Amino acid sequence: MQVNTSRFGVLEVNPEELLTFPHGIPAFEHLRSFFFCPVPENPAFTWLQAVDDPDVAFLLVDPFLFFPGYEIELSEAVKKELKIKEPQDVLVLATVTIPDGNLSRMTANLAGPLVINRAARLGLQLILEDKKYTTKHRLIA
Amino acid sequence: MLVLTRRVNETIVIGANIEVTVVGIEEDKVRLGIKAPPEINIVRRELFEAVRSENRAAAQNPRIPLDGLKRG
Repeated sequence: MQVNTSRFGVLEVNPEELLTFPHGIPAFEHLRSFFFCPVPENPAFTWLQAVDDPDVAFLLVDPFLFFPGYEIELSEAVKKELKIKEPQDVLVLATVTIPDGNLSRMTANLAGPLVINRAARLGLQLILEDKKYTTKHRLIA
Repeated sequence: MLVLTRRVNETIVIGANIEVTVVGIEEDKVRLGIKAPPEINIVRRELFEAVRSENRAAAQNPRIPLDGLKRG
């Protein structure tokens, strides 16, 4: 299938690679279908492009690489919702914000990690009631 | 909005399986205990709003080269 995107042009996407977020993502509840768009120059990052809105793509980072003490706990309810069977199927990724396109000010949202089961192709955004984490952690000290 | 008066240790029931109990009151703070099924996500509204607003900002990033950016 072909997907039109404002950042990457028209992309050919294998429908089997699509990820479904059954509840969307807060502020984008209407968008349920996404796919990864790799960042070849830096594999710590990936884009998550919405299928149904060319303008909506999230830059994601592996939070454990940049924040070694980071940890989250997945409740049984989350495991059930994402149909998680094997721990190695689980991806945890943080959205990144780049204010005014200025990389030195980029932040990661550690309070709202995306949790994805890459086997079942299901995802959600967790909101952590943990005061240690905020929506803006600097990636570059 | 439904408004109810409760004292400390009194509870309200929402639907069949959600209970909210006033655990303590101290000056302008109320501590609530909430019993709900695990699939019900409970967060403070300001945190939910912060995540929404961060998502809106994050969806507007330009495509930008990320080479040279290593873990900090």
